[in-house]
Amino acid sequence: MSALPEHFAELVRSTLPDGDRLAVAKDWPNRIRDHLHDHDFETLDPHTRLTGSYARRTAVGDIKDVDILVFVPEATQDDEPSEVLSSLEDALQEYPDATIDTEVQRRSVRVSIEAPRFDVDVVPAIISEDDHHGVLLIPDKSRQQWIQSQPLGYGQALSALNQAHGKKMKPQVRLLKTWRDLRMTYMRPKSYWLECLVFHAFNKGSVAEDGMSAGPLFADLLEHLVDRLGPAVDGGGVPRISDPMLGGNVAAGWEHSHAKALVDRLRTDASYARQAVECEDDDESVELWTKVFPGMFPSDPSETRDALSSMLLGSRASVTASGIVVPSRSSGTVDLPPGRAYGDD
Amino acid sequence: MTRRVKGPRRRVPDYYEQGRLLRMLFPQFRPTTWKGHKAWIGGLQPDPGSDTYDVAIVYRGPKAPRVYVVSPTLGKCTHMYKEGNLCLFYPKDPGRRWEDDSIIAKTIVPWTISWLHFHELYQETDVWQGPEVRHDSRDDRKVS
Repeated sequence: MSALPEHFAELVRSTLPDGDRLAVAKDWPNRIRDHLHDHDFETLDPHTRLTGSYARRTAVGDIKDVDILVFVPEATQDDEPSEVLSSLEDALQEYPDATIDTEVQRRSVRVSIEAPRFDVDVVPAIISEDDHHGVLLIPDKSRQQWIQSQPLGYGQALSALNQAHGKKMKPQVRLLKTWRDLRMTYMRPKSYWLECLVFHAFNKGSVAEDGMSAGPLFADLLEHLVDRLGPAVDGGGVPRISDPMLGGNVAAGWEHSHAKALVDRLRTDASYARQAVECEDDDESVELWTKVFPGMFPSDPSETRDALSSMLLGSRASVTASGIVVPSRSSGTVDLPPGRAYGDD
Repeated sequence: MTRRVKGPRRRVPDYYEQGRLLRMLFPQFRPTTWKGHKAWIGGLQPDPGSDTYDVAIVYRGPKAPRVYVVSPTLGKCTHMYKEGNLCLFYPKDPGRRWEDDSIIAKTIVPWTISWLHFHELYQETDVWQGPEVRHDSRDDRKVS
Protein backbone atom coordinates (compact mmCIF):
# COMPACT_ATOMS: atom_id res chain seq x y z
CA MET A 1 0.00 0.00 0.00
CA SER A 2 1.28 3.45 -0.92
CA ALA A 3 0.05 6.30 1.29
CA LEU A 4 2.54 8.98 0.13
CA PRO A 5 2.18 11.13 3.28
CA GLU A 6 4.85 13.64 2.20
CA HIS A 7 3.22 14.09 -1.20
CA PHE A 8 -0.18 14.65 0.34
CA ALA A 9 1.22 17.00 2.97
CA GLU A 10 2.53 19.18 0.15
CA LEU A 11 -0.71 18.84 -1.83
CA VAL A 12 -2.81 19.81 1.21
CA ARG A 13 -0.55 22.81 1.87
CA SER A 14 -0.77 23.93 -1.75
CA THR A 15 -4.58 24.00 -1.65
CA LEU A 16 -4.52 26.91 0.82
CA PRO A 17 -4.79 30.48 -0.45
CA ASP A 18 -1.54 32.46 -0.25
CA GLY A 19 -0.84 34.29 2.98
CA ASP A 20 -1.22 37.67 1.29
CA ARG A 21 -4.78 36.79 0.21
CA LEU A 22 -5.56 35.46 3.68
CA ALA A 23 -4.27 38.68 5.22
CA VAL A 24 -6.42 40.84 2.95
CA ALA A 25 -9.48 38.60 3.47
CA LYS A 26 -9.04 38.84 7.23
CA ASP A 27 -8.87 42.61 7.00
CA TRP A 28 -12.03 43.09 4.91
CA PRO A 29 -14.50 43.19 7.82
CA ASN A 30 -12.60 46.10 9.42
CA ARG A 31 -12.37 47.98 6.14
CA ILE A 32 -16.09 47.56 5.42
CA ARG A 33 -17.03 48.46 9.01
CA ASP A 34 -14.96 51.65 8.88
CA HIS A 35 -16.43 52.62 5.51
CA LEU A 36 -20.01 52.06 6.68
CA HIS A 37 -19.32 53.98 9.86
CA ASP A 38 -18.01 56.93 7.83
CA HIS A 39 -21.11 56.81 5.62
CA ASP A 40 -23.67 56.78 8.44
CA PHE A 41 -24.88 53.23 7.89
CA GLU A 42 -25.99 51.98 11.29
CA THR A 43 -24.50 48.72 12.48
CA LEU A 44 -24.52 46.95 15.81
CA ASP A 45 -21.74 45.25 17.74
CA PRO A 46 -19.87 43.18 16.49
CA HIS A 47 -20.62 45.31 13.37
CA THR A 48 -18.98 43.08 10.76
CA ARG A 49 -17.67 39.56 10.63
CA LEU A 50 -15.87 37.41 8.10
CA THR A 51 -17.85 34.34 7.13
CA GLY A 52 -17.75 31.92 4.21
CA SER A 53 -14.92 29.60 3.25
CA TYR A 54 -12.12 32.02 4.21
CA ALA A 55 -13.46 32.04 7.75
CA ARG A 56 -13.67 28.25 7.80
CA ARG A 57 -10.21 27.36 6.38
CA THR A 58 -11.96 25.67 3.47
CA ALA A 59 -11.13 28.26 0.79
CA VAL A 60 -8.83 26.98 -1.96
CA GLY A 61 -6.26 28.62 -4.22
CA ASP A 62 -6.79 32.21 -5.23
CA ILE A 63 -10.54 32.17 -4.63
CA LYS A 64 -11.75 35.74 -4.90
CA ASP A 65 -15.09 35.50 -3.09
CA VAL A 66 -15.18 36.80 0.45
CA ASP A 67 -18.39 36.88 2.51
CA ILE A 68 -18.90 39.46 5.22
CA LEU A 69 -21.85 39.81 7.56
CA VAL A 70 -22.93 43.33 8.54
CA PHE A 71 -25.00 43.32 11.72
CA VAL A 72 -27.95 45.72 11.46
CA PRO A 73 -30.50 46.75 14.14
CA GLU A 74 -33.41 44.42 14.76
CA ALA A 75 -35.89 47.11 13.71
CA THR A 76 -34.47 46.79 10.18
CA GLN A 77 -36.59 43.66 9.90
CA ASP A 78 -39.61 45.94 9.39
CA ASP A 79 -38.10 47.16 6.14
CA GLU A 80 -38.40 45.38 2.82
CA PRO A 81 -35.30 43.30 1.99
CA SER A 82 -34.79 45.21 -1.27
CA GLU A 83 -34.85 48.53 0.62
CA VAL A 84 -32.22 47.35 3.08
CA LEU A 85 -29.98 46.06 0.31
CA SER A 86 -30.51 49.30 -1.56
CA SER A 87 -29.48 51.49 1.38
CA LEU A 88 -26.43 49.27 1.97
CA GLU A 89 -25.58 49.66 -1.69
CA ASP A 90 -25.85 53.45 -1.37
CA ALA A 91 -23.52 53.44 1.63
CA LEU A 92 -20.98 51.32 -0.24
CA GLN A 93 -21.22 53.30 -3.49
CA GLU A 94 -18.20 55.43 -2.71
CA TYR A 95 -15.98 52.54 -1.74
CA PRO A 96 -12.63 53.41 -3.34
CA ASP A 97 -11.50 51.58 -6.49
CA ALA A 98 -14.48 49.28 -6.49
CA THR A 99 -17.63 48.59 -8.43
CA ILE A 100 -20.81 47.91 -6.52
CA ASP A 101 -23.46 45.48 -7.66
CA THR A 102 -26.74 44.20 -6.26
CA GLU A 103 -28.27 43.08 -9.54
CA VAL A 104 -27.10 39.48 -9.47
CA GLN A 105 -27.00 39.18 -5.70
CA ARG A 106 -30.19 38.10 -3.96
CA ARG A 107 -29.00 38.54 -0.40
CA SER A 108 -25.96 40.79 -0.48
CA VAL A 109 -24.23 43.75 -2.06
CA ARG A 110 -21.16 42.82 -4.05
CA VAL A 111 -18.10 45.06 -3.78
CA SER A 112 -15.72 44.13 -6.59
CA ILE A 113 -12.17 45.23 -5.95
CA GLU A 114 -9.62 45.32 -8.75
CA ALA A 115 -6.34 45.08 -6.90
CA PRO A 116 -5.95 42.67 -5.32
CA ARG A 117 -8.87 41.04 -7.13
CA PHE A 118 -11.63 40.29 -4.63
CA ASP A 119 -15.42 40.08 -4.78
CA VAL A 120 -16.63 40.98 -1.33
CA ASP A 121 -20.24 39.98 -0.71
CA VAL A 122 -21.62 42.10 2.11
CA VAL A 123 -24.67 40.50 3.72
CA PRO A 124 -26.91 42.45 6.14
CA ALA A 125 -27.79 40.26 9.13
CA ILE A 126 -30.00 40.53 12.18
CA ILE A 127 -29.17 38.54 15.27
CA SER A 128 -32.45 36.71 15.83
CA GLU A 129 -34.36 37.54 19.02
CA ASP A 130 -34.65 33.87 19.88
CA ASP A 131 -31.04 33.30 18.91
CA HIS A 132 -30.49 29.57 19.00
CA HIS A 133 -27.11 28.38 17.85
CA GLY A 134 -26.34 31.52 15.89
CA VAL A 135 -29.49 31.73 13.76
CA LEU A 136 -29.47 35.00 11.79
CA LEU A 137 -32.06 36.72 9.66
CA ILE A 138 -30.89 37.92 6.28
CA PRO A 139 -32.84 39.70 3.53
CA ASP A 140 -33.78 37.76 0.41
CA LYS A 141 -34.65 40.15 -2.40
CA SER A 142 -36.26 37.63 -4.73
CA ARG A 143 -38.48 36.13 -2.03
CA GLN A 144 -39.12 39.57 -0.53
CA GLN A 145 -38.69 38.29 2.99
CA TRP A 146 -36.16 37.86 5.74
CA ILE A 147 -34.95 34.30 5.88
CA GLN A 148 -33.08 32.29 8.50
CA SER A 149 -29.45 31.51 7.97
CA GLN A 150 -26.83 29.98 10.23
CA PRO A 151 -23.39 30.70 8.80
CA LEU A 152 -21.78 31.25 12.19
CA GLY A 153 -23.38 28.19 13.76
CA TYR A 154 -22.31 26.15 10.75
CA GLY A 155 -18.74 27.39 11.04
CA GLN A 156 -18.68 26.34 14.69
CA ALA A 157 -20.20 22.93 13.93
CA LEU A 158 -17.69 22.36 11.13
CA SER A 159 -14.78 23.27 13.41
CA ALA A 160 -16.05 20.99 16.17
CA LEU A 161 -16.42 18.10 13.74
CA ASN A 162 -13.00 18.81 12.28
CA GLN A 163 -11.51 18.79 15.79
CA ALA A 164 -13.26 15.52 16.59
CA HIS A 165 -11.60 14.00 13.53
CA GLY A 166 -8.08 15.11 14.41
CA LYS A 167 -8.29 18.17 12.11
CA LYS A 168 -8.31 15.84 9.12
CA MET A 169 -11.71 16.85 7.72
CA LYS A 170 -11.10 20.41 6.47
CA PRO A 171 -8.14 19.29 4.33
CA GLN A 172 -10.52 16.80 2.66
CA VAL A 173 -12.93 19.65 1.89
CA ARG A 174 -10.08 21.59 0.27
CA LEU A 175 -8.87 18.52 -1.64
CA LEU A 176 -12.38 17.87 -2.97
CA LYS A 177 -12.84 21.47 -4.11
CA THR A 178 -9.40 21.44 -5.72
CA TRP A 179 -10.21 18.13 -7.42
CA ARG A 180 -13.47 19.64 -8.76
CA ASP A 181 -11.58 22.65 -10.13
CA LEU A 182 -8.98 20.46 -11.83
CA ARG A 183 -11.26 17.75 -13.17
CA MET A 184 -14.47 19.53 -14.09
CA THR A 185 -14.44 22.34 -16.59
CA TYR A 186 -18.20 22.53 -17.01
CA MET A 187 -21.23 21.72 -14.87
CA ARG A 188 -19.23 22.12 -11.67
CA PRO A 189 -21.08 21.58 -8.39
CA LYS A 190 -20.96 24.55 -6.04
CA SER A 191 -18.26 24.64 -3.40
CA TYR A 192 -20.74 24.77 -0.57
CA TRP A 193 -22.47 21.60 -1.79
CA LEU A 194 -19.17 19.75 -1.73
CA GLU A 195 -18.46 21.09 1.74
CA CYS A 196 -21.85 19.83 2.95
CA LEU A 197 -21.21 16.41 1.41
CA VAL A 198 -17.90 16.10 3.27
CA PHE A 199 -19.55 17.35 6.47
CA HIS A 200 -22.22 14.62 6.28
CA ALA A 201 -19.68 11.95 5.34
CA PHE A 202 -17.66 12.62 8.50
CA ASN A 203 -20.64 13.37 10.71
CA LYS A 204 -22.31 10.07 9.88
CA GLY A 205 -19.08 8.12 10.12
CA SER A 206 -19.27 7.12 6.45
CA VAL A 207 -15.57 7.91 6.24
CA ALA A 208 -13.32 7.84 9.29
CA GLU A 209 -9.77 9.07 9.48
CA ASP A 210 -8.61 6.40 11.99
CA GLY A 211 -5.01 7.50 11.70
CA MET A 212 -5.18 7.36 7.91
CA SER A 213 -3.18 9.86 5.92
CA ALA A 214 -4.88 12.24 3.52
CA GLY A 215 -4.45 10.07 0.39
CA PRO A 216 -6.22 6.90 1.52
CA LEU A 217 -8.83 9.06 3.22
CA PHE A 218 -9.53 10.93 -0.02
CA ALA A 219 -9.88 7.61 -1.85
CA ASP A 220 -12.47 6.56 0.76
CA LEU A 221 -14.25 9.88 0.38
CA LEU A 222 -14.54 9.57 -3.41
CA GLU A 223 -15.93 6.04 -3.08
CA HIS A 224 -18.40 7.17 -0.46
CA LEU A 225 -19.61 10.00 -2.71
CA VAL A 226 -20.17 7.53 -5.56
CA ASP A 227 -22.31 5.42 -3.21
CA ARG A 228 -24.09 8.46 -1.86
CA LEU A 229 -24.88 10.25 -5.13
CA GLY A 230 -24.82 7.43 -7.71
CA PRO A 231 -28.19 5.74 -7.06
CA ALA A 232 -30.25 8.93 -7.44
CA VAL A 233 -28.45 9.87 -10.64
CA ASP A 234 -28.66 6.34 -12.07
CA GLY A 235 -32.39 6.38 -11.39
CA GLY A 236 -32.79 9.55 -13.45
CA GLY A 237 -33.14 11.80 -10.41
CA VAL A 238 -31.04 14.38 -8.66
CA PRO A 239 -29.44 13.82 -5.24
CA ARG A 240 -30.54 15.91 -2.30
CA ILE A 241 -27.86 17.58 -0.19
CA SER A 242 -29.21 18.78 3.12
CA ASP A 243 -28.03 21.92 4.88
CA PRO A 244 -26.12 20.69 7.95
CA MET A 245 -27.81 23.24 10.19
CA LEU A 246 -31.24 24.10 8.80
CA GLY A 247 -32.00 20.90 6.93
CA GLY A 248 -33.19 22.35 3.60
CA ASN A 249 -31.85 21.09 0.28
CA VAL A 250 -28.86 23.29 -0.56
CA ALA A 251 -28.70 21.77 -4.05
CA ALA A 252 -32.28 22.56 -5.02
CA GLY A 253 -32.27 23.33 -8.73
CA TRP A 254 -29.37 21.00 -9.50
CA GLU A 255 -29.93 19.61 -12.98
CA HIS A 256 -29.68 15.89 -13.67
CA SER A 257 -27.08 16.34 -16.40
CA HIS A 258 -24.88 18.31 -14.00
CA ALA A 259 -25.24 15.78 -11.19
CA LYS A 260 -24.46 13.00 -13.66
CA ALA A 261 -21.32 14.80 -14.80
CA LEU A 262 -20.11 14.84 -11.21
CA VAL A 263 -20.95 11.18 -10.55
CA ASP A 264 -19.27 10.07 -13.80
CA ARG A 265 -16.10 11.92 -12.84
CA LEU A 266 -16.25 10.58 -9.30
CA ARG A 267 -16.52 7.00 -10.57
CA THR A 268 -13.49 7.36 -12.83
CA ASP A 269 -11.35 9.01 -10.20
CA ALA A 270 -12.45 6.84 -7.27
CA SER A 271 -11.09 3.94 -9.28
CA TYR A 272 -7.75 5.70 -9.95
CA ALA A 273 -7.51 6.69 -6.30
CA ARG A 274 -8.14 3.16 -5.04
CA GLN A 275 -5.54 1.74 -7.42
CA ALA A 276 -3.10 4.43 -6.29
CA VAL A 277 -3.59 3.52 -2.64
CA GLU A 278 -3.36 -0.22 -3.19
CA CYS A 279 -0.37 -0.37 -5.49
CA GLU A 280 2.98 -1.18 -3.90
CA ASP A 281 5.11 1.04 -6.09
CA ASP A 282 5.31 4.72 -5.10
CA ASP A 283 6.13 5.93 -8.62
CA GLU A 284 3.10 4.15 -10.01
CA SER A 285 0.99 5.58 -7.20
CA VAL A 286 2.20 9.10 -7.99
CA GLU A 287 1.30 8.55 -11.64
CA LEU A 288 -2.24 7.52 -10.72
CA TRP A 289 -2.74 10.38 -8.26
CA THR A 290 -1.52 12.77 -10.97
CA LYS A 291 -4.55 11.70 -13.02
CA VAL A 292 -6.78 12.70 -10.11
CA PHE A 293 -4.97 15.98 -9.44
CA PRO A 294 -3.47 16.82 -12.85
CA GLY A 295 -0.81 19.51 -12.82
CA MET A 296 -0.94 19.76 -9.05
CA PHE A 297 0.04 16.45 -7.50
CA PRO A 298 3.70 16.85 -6.49
CA SER A 299 6.07 14.42 -8.18
CA ASP A 300 8.85 15.24 -5.72
CA PRO A 301 7.59 16.95 -2.54
CA SER A 302 11.12 17.48 -1.24
CA GLU A 303 11.73 19.97 -4.07
CA THR A 304 8.77 22.14 -3.09
CA ARG A 305 9.65 21.80 0.56
CA ASP A 306 13.21 22.92 -0.12
CA ALA A 307 11.87 25.90 -2.07
CA LEU A 308 9.58 26.81 0.81
CA SER A 309 12.42 26.50 3.32
CA SER A 310 14.70 28.58 1.17
CA MET A 311 12.02 31.28 0.90
CA LEU A 312 11.64 31.35 4.68
CA LEU A 313 15.37 31.12 5.40
CA GLY A 314 16.14 33.73 2.77
CA SER A 315 14.41 36.45 4.77
CA ARG A 316 11.90 37.08 2.02
CA ALA A 317 8.75 36.39 4.04
CA SER A 318 6.99 38.51 6.63
CA VAL A 319 4.17 38.26 9.16
CA THR A 320 1.10 40.36 9.86
CA ALA A 321 0.31 41.73 13.30
CA SER A 322 -2.62 39.34 13.60
CA GLY A 323 -0.43 36.30 12.94
CA ILE A 324 -0.41 35.38 9.23
CA VAL A 325 2.75 34.38 7.35
CA VAL A 326 2.97 36.36 4.09
CA PRO A 327 5.32 35.12 1.35
CA SER A 328 6.64 38.61 0.66
CA ARG A 329 7.61 41.78 2.45
CA SER A 330 5.21 44.68 2.41
CA SER A 331 4.33 47.72 4.41
CA GLY A 332 2.45 46.94 7.58
CA THR A 333 4.11 43.57 8.03
CA VAL A 334 7.08 42.53 10.15
CA ASP A 335 9.96 40.70 8.49
CA LEU A 336 10.21 37.03 9.33
CA PRO A 337 13.85 36.46 10.30
CA PRO A 338 15.38 33.16 9.16
CA GLY A 339 15.05 30.41 11.71
CA ARG A 340 14.70 26.67 11.98
CA ALA A 341 12.48 24.88 14.45
CA TYR A 342 14.24 22.39 16.66
CA GLY A 343 13.30 19.79 19.23
CA ASP A 344 11.44 16.54 18.82
CA ASP A 345 9.71 16.18 22.13
CA MET B 1 33.96 23.99 16.92
CA THR B 2 32.74 27.58 16.68
CA ARG B 3 33.77 30.04 19.34
CA ARG B 4 32.06 33.37 19.95
CA VAL B 5 34.40 36.32 19.56
CA LYS B 6 34.27 38.58 22.57
CA GLY B 7 33.31 42.13 21.68
CA PRO B 8 31.93 45.13 23.50
CA ARG B 9 29.21 44.17 25.91
CA ARG B 10 25.82 44.54 24.25
CA ARG B 11 22.97 46.29 25.95
CA VAL B 12 20.17 43.95 26.91
CA PRO B 13 16.73 45.54 26.36
CA ASP B 14 14.76 45.47 29.60
CA TYR B 15 11.17 44.27 30.07
CA TYR B 16 9.70 47.72 29.48
CA GLU B 17 11.67 48.38 26.32
CA GLN B 18 10.85 44.94 24.90
CA GLY B 19 7.19 45.51 25.83
CA ARG B 20 7.08 48.91 24.17
CA LEU B 21 8.44 47.52 20.91
CA LEU B 22 6.22 44.46 21.17
CA ARG B 23 3.05 46.52 21.55
CA MET B 24 4.11 48.86 18.77
CA LEU B 25 4.16 45.98 16.26
CA PHE B 26 1.72 43.57 17.93
CA PRO B 27 -0.70 45.75 19.93
CA GLN B 28 -2.74 42.78 21.13
CA PHE B 29 0.01 41.76 23.57
CA ARG B 30 -0.55 42.85 27.18
CA PRO B 31 2.02 42.93 29.97
CA THR B 32 1.23 40.43 32.71
CA THR B 33 2.80 37.91 35.03
CA TRP B 34 2.58 34.31 34.02
CA LYS B 35 3.39 31.61 36.55
CA GLY B 36 5.25 34.20 38.58
CA HIS B 37 7.34 35.56 35.70
CA LYS B 38 7.18 38.83 33.82
CA ALA B 39 5.44 38.09 30.55
CA TRP B 40 3.13 39.29 27.82
CA ILE B 41 0.03 37.51 26.54
CA GLY B 42 -1.66 38.10 23.21
CA GLY B 43 -3.63 36.32 20.50
CA LEU B 44 -2.25 35.16 17.16
CA GLN B 45 -4.35 33.65 14.37
CA PRO B 46 -2.30 32.06 11.58
CA ASP B 47 -5.30 31.79 9.25
CA PRO B 48 -8.70 33.57 9.35
CA GLY B 49 -10.24 30.08 9.60
CA SER B 50 -7.95 28.67 12.25
CA ASP B 51 -7.95 28.89 16.02
CA THR B 52 -6.75 32.08 17.67
CA TYR B 53 -3.85 31.01 19.88
CA ASP B 54 -3.32 32.88 23.14
CA VAL B 55 0.42 32.96 23.55
CA ALA B 56 2.46 33.80 26.66
CA ILE B 57 5.95 35.19 26.12
CA VAL B 58 8.00 34.93 29.29
CA TYR B 59 10.77 37.54 29.63
CA ARG B 60 14.13 36.21 30.84
CA GLY B 61 16.48 39.15 30.37
CA PRO B 62 19.37 38.23 28.08
CA LYS B 63 18.24 34.61 27.86
CA ALA B 64 15.84 33.54 25.13
CA PRO B 65 12.24 34.23 26.13
CA ARG B 66 10.09 31.16 26.52
CA VAL B 67 6.86 30.95 24.56
CA TYR B 68 3.87 28.91 25.70
CA VAL B 69 0.48 28.44 24.08
CA VAL B 70 -2.03 29.21 26.84
CA SER B 71 -5.08 28.18 24.80
CA PRO B 72 -6.37 26.24 23.00
CA THR B 73 -4.80 22.91 23.90
CA LEU B 74 -2.29 22.15 21.19
CA GLY B 75 -3.08 18.47 20.62
CA LYS B 76 -0.66 16.52 18.49
CA CYS B 77 2.55 18.50 18.44
CA THR B 78 6.20 18.50 17.48
CA HIS B 79 9.06 20.96 17.99
CA MET B 80 8.21 21.62 21.61
CA TYR B 81 10.36 21.30 24.74
CA LYS B 82 9.39 18.99 27.58
CA GLU B 83 8.36 22.02 29.69
CA GLY B 84 5.77 22.88 27.03
CA ASN B 85 7.53 25.89 25.51
CA LEU B 86 7.80 26.11 21.76
CA CYS B 87 11.08 25.34 20.07
CA LEU B 88 11.34 28.33 17.79
CA PHE B 89 14.96 28.34 16.65
CA TYR B 90 18.00 26.13 16.57
CA PRO B 91 20.31 27.34 19.37
CA LYS B 92 23.45 26.53 17.38
CA ASP B 93 22.42 28.45 14.25
CA PRO B 94 24.54 31.64 14.06
CA GLY B 95 22.50 34.51 12.67
CA ARG B 96 19.28 32.57 13.01
CA ARG B 97 19.02 32.30 16.78
CA TRP B 98 18.28 34.44 19.82
CA GLU B 99 21.08 36.77 20.91
CA ASP B 100 21.04 38.53 24.26
CA ASP B 101 20.22 41.88 22.61
CA SER B 102 17.59 40.53 20.21
CA ILE B 103 14.24 42.27 20.00
CA ILE B 104 11.33 39.98 20.88
CA ALA B 105 8.91 41.69 18.48
CA LYS B 106 11.29 41.15 15.57
CA THR B 107 12.43 37.62 16.34
CA ILE B 108 10.44 35.61 18.85
CA VAL B 109 6.98 36.77 17.70
CA PRO B 110 7.56 36.24 13.95
CA TRP B 111 9.09 32.83 14.73
CA THR B 112 6.06 32.01 16.88
CA ILE B 113 3.73 32.98 14.02
CA SER B 114 5.71 30.79 11.64
CA TRP B 115 5.63 27.95 14.21
CA LEU B 116 1.84 28.22 14.53
CA HIS B 117 1.44 28.30 10.74
CA PHE B 118 3.36 25.03 10.40
CA HIS B 119 1.69 23.56 13.48
CA GLU B 120 -1.70 23.99 11.81
CA LEU B 121 -0.40 22.15 8.76
CA TYR B 122 1.25 19.52 10.95
CA GLN B 123 -2.08 18.75 12.56
CA GLU B 124 -3.69 18.41 9.14
CA THR B 125 -0.96 16.30 7.53
CA ASP B 126 1.29 14.85 10.30
CA VAL B 127 4.28 16.34 8.46
CA TRP B 128 6.26 19.40 9.67
CA GLN B 129 6.72 21.38 6.47
CA GLY B 130 8.74 24.31 7.79
CA PRO B 131 12.50 24.67 8.10
CA GLU B 132 13.71 22.42 10.92
CA VAL B 133 16.65 20.68 12.48
CA ARG B 134 15.81 17.30 13.91
CA HIS B 135 17.66 15.91 16.89
CA ASP B 136 20.64 13.81 15.80
CA SER B 137 20.29 15.05 12.25
CA ARG B 138 23.53 15.69 10.33
CA ASP B 139 23.20 19.44 10.99
CA ASP B 140 22.74 18.83 14.69
CA ARG B 141 25.80 16.54 14.99
CA LYS B 142 27.95 18.78 12.79
CA VAL B 143 27.50 21.86 14.94
CA SER B 144 27.49 20.13 18.32
